[in-house]
Amino acid sequence: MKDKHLTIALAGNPNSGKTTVFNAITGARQHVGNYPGVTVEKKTGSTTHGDVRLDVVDLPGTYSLTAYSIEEVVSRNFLLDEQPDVVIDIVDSSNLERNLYLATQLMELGVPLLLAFNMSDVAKNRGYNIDEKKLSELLGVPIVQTIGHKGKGIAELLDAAMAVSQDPQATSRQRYPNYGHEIEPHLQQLANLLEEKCGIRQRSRWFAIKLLENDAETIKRLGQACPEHIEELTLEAERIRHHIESICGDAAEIILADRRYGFISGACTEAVTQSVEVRHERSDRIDAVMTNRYLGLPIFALLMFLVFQLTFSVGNPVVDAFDGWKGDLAGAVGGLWGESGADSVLRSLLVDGIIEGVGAVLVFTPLIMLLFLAIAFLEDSGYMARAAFVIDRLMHKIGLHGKSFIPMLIGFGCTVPGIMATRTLETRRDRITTILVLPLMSCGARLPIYVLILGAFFPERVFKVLGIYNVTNHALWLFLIYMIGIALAIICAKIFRGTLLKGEATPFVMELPPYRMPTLKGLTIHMWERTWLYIKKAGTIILAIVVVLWALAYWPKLGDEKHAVFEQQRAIVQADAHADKEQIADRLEEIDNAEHEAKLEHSAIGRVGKTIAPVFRPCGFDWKISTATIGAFAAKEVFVGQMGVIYSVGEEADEESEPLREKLAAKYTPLIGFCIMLFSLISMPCMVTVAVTVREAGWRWAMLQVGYLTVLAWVLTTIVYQIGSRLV
Amino acid sequence: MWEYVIVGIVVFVAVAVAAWSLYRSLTGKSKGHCGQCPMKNSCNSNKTDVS
Repeated sequence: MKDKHLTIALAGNPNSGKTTVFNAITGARQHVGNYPGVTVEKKTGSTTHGDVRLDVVDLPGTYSLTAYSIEEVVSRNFLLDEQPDVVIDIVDSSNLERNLYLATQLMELGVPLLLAFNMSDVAKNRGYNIDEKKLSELLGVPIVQTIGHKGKGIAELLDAAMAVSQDPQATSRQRYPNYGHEIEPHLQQLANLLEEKCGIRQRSRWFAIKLLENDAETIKRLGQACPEHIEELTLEAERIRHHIESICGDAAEIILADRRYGFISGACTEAVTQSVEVRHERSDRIDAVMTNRYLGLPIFALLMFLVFQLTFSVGNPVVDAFDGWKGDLAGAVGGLWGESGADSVLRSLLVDGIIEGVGAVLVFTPLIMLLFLAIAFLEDSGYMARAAFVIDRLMHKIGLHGKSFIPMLIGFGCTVPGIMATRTLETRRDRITTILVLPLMSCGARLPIYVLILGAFFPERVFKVLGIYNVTNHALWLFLIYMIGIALAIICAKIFRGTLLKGEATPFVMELPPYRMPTLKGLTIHMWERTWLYIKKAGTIILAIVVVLWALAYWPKLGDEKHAVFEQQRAIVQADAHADKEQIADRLEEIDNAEHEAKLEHSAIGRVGKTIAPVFRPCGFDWKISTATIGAFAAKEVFVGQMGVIYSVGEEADEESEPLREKLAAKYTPLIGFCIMLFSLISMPCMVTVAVTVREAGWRWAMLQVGYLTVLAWVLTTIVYQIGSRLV
Repeated sequence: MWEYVIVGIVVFVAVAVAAWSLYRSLTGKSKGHCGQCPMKNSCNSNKTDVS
């Protein structure tokens, strides 16, 4: 009988291993990033334990239950409104005092609480001896040791959760911090008032504390519950606050926080001992170098470069092999129609549309896998939090703080989640500024464009650094492109903060989690999840768009009269008695190319392209590149797919067909290639990003984002092309 | 002739899929590329007003 049902909420500080425990309980594969703020919204999962069905809710990581940030509001509202059967507070045992602050607030809230002392192995390695039994008695809350990433203690944790849910005394046993004789009587007075006037019997003490802390969300909530008395209550709370301030010499909320820390400190002094003096822990020693004032930024740049180097040196040969197989497949499928099938519409759809279009995107899968593997390694090891810390100094100068850089780092994978991650930022000014510049962080979808262009126009050269290490020029180019993106993001943020979004930077203490060796399973899961979505996207939306583009490039067909003109030219060439075989072949190829060009220009896509081409001419783009850059608005990879289609429609596919890279190299110059990369980096983001920006910031900001990025891309590309074409 | 029928159906389905995808993106119903990220669940969560 599996009709028993329990709702468990997982609360905890950011980076306490909450999501890892959630995954261990539910068997889910939510991504775990080793930096704060990965869980912005609550996530749910379910499992069974014995004969009980457990619904597990992973709340956003918070340091407290005040209402300073959106995560805190989300967590608190869930606990108040949904009233889960058990709340498990995931505590980072190696950072106990900081983490127990949230526990004290949960105890004050009066929820059935259970503490999971996670990362107990890390705490032990650091020399902490925690007497859980004693601490559990002191706090009045059961404690279970867990090691989330190894799944240790999870069964015991669930057993304890069931016990707490069935224990009617679970909440009454909990001990609250005592706020001292100056504050306690006033708290009681406010609680009585709440019970009397508003009929709030449950959690009246907690509401009284929040009133004293002048918590805007609670005041709003009380205002809805008893609108006729809210003014009286807030006036009374204000009077008490002034009284406390005059006696204690500090704001009420500071005094309250102080007392909570005192409560925790006292409990820890009783129950925690440090067996060894750990002055210079491993993480600290590594951080002395990684976050060094002078070395931090160069190390960040070096690591980014190594990511690209790894991606290219390992991935490129595989991409070449994939490209070869794609050509073989196109030849084999095209061959099914034989000599007479050159005009077959189905053959053209399969070969020129689907294989060349989707194939052009899919051949880059190995590079995407490697890039995501490297990023997952940096995330899981804890380095990305250091990167944010290092960039913090730079960000302060532009009026943002390092916390803004975390969404930007996520943006290297995909801009959409990067925008969602801006929810962790405290002020709307910071959020909007970060959202506006986020598309300048080059996302994974743009990688195929860069790789296509680099392969076409910049022959790979390998040279040795310090005489030992092989470096490829492709990695250097890619590094340059990414750095241009970061630099432009910083400059644009500075401009926005100085004009439209003026204001002081909010203070924030960046937490540096200890370094951890990423597990092979974790890396594989993260890499595969992201890669699979790339493949899935190529097989769904990109396939659909490519088929539509193919149809637009195929119809309307060149009329019989125009076709007859080319046939006539071929006949004249073939009848030329003075020319040798080679000359005839060359001239026939020229006629083929001219007909191919005429067919494309006559097609719907050609007509649209010709109309918009003048706009892009100063950037050095012809109508084909212009239409592909517009098509990339649907999804950035479409650029590659569209170029694949445009350069295949009307051509005869066989084993001898040139790869797309060679066709591009024959048609354009390296300068145009660089301009394509630059334009793709800066220009308007894809439509999903625009939609998410509308949702998160509003239409006005989304339009500004599209507008300024497109203008910036056009202006910079034009400058580079115009200057470059005069120099080269 | 049968080739045109097959191609016609494929193109029709592709147009429908592309239009549906565009509609879902612009109305904010699409999860977009969220899978490439640590927070894919947050993408289709309810909007939280932070203004």
